Amino acid sequence: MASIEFKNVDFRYNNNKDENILHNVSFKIKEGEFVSIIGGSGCGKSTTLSLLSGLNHASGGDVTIDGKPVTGPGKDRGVVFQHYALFPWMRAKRNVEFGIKQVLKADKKTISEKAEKYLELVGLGGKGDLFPHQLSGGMQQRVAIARLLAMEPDILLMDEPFGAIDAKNRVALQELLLELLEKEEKKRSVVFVTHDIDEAILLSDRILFMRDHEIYRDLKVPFERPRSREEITVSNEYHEFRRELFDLFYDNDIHQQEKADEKQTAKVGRFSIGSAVGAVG
Amino acid sequence: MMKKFLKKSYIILPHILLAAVLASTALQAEFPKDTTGFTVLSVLLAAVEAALIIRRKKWSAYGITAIVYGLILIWSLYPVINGRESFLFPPPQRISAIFVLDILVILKSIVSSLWLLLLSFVIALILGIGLGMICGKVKRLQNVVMPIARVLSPVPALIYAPYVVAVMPNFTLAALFIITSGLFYPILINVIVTLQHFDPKLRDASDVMGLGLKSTIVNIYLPYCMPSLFNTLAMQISNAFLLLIGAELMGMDSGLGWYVKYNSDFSDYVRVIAGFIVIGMIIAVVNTGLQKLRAKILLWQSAEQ
Repeated sequence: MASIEFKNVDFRYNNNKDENILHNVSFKIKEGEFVSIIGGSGCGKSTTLSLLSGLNHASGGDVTIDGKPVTGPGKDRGVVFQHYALFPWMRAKRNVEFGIKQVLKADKKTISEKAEKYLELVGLGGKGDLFPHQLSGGMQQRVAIARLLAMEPDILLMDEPFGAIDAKNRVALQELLLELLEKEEKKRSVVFVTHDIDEAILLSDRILFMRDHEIYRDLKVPFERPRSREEITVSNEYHEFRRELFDLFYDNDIHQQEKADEKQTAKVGRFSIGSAVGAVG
Repeated sequence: MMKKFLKKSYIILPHILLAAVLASTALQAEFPKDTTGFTVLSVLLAAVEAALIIRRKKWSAYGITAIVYGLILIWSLYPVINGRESFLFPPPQRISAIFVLDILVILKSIVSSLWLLLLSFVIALILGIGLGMICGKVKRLQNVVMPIARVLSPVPALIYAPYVVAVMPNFTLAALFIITSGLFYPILINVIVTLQHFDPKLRDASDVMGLGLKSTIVNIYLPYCMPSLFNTLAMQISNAFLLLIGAELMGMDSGLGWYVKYNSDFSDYVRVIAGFIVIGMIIAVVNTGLQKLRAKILLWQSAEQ
């Protein structure tokens, strides 16, 4: 039960009234939909996610879940960050249990069994007694995903969750996530921030491309579920779609460069007028 | 060949020095007057020797033991070098005897001192951590508390001792107050500063879980502060002993500080030095205990942190 809506959302930091981090962002996400947000760095994708998680608040417009405005973090949403934000003083299993305890009032045994189950699900059965620093980056992120899923939120918010993981493990984790989400009975809405085109295509139903703090494109991913990487990557459709996204990134780069040049010219212009006035004065 | 010889000598050296110490003290001791002292000294040396045998695989153990024996040897030979027994540096067998003669007083002093220390540590920890955690969560309170703490904390707690003694109903409470206040500020400031630099990744992770104040403090803030708290405690242990001895010197009637002060009033340097040795050993034991506790509690820290 979770549909998400952004309606004319603006965001800027208090101390900087001129610079919009988000400008007039509007989109809807249906219940059970997997939506990726992609775009160049600094375009506002992580900020969009932080508004949804409740860590930040919109400066203008409405962010709603099932029609209710988001006022802060909530148990209906679970977040995974790029940096495996496990609590380093808790063993892997305790980390998952701690997450479960926040949403479920149950006896120790139930919680322990549930944590065990989810650790097993992410391929870490028997590793529950290790501390985060004893786990590799990929394994830590698996624990974070286990904790996220064990909390059974309606909405999963993932901010470049595989961004800091080596290529081989990233592929394994993408497939794990795909498998876990398709296997689960309950259909969860997912908002997934990434800058990896292939990752976005493999996982999502829709892709939002952000540029200049706005939603620039809203693209439907043309593949049915369940999907497998092997099947979709051999199709022509995949390559065309990939090319389309790639062009968006490429155009964006040129656009950003032009903007930077304009800024530079404006600065130089001001400077020369200023110095000319100074010289006359 | 040469290397092998040096290695062998290094291993044998402590045993030779031990034999020399025993010979030196046995030859100088006046039996039967020094029988107790000599026996106690032998037992203590046997304990050191046992410690060496237990750690015989450790290369440094031989060096450390050799230095300990060497110092005792020089000490025991001092009357020979000096020409006569020194009043200010009584020989080891005299001092060892005190450990038996004064055993009850010394034990009572140890218990009294450690109790005072423990109590002040507990009070300072509860108050310092408690206030620090609340300041970590409530910025406005922090802005009020921090400047005051920064002014008050560098003032050595012993400075207001005369005043505290006059105000407090008895010396024990005065001593307790002085030690506690000396420990309180470093703990408070440590907690506040650690929380000021709270890892933003962990802040986000705990914020999105929507934890309550109590859960945040117990499950997140407290363990987060533990490593730096242990560092502070390790540094404050010697400070605490200084305050303890100082506070006991003011007029208490028990404790290790009192024992040293009381006996130095009578110029009983045999007992004064015995007191020094006991204080040294107690500090060593407390430090080791703290390190063991740290290793146990901070198991979650990786080696490089």
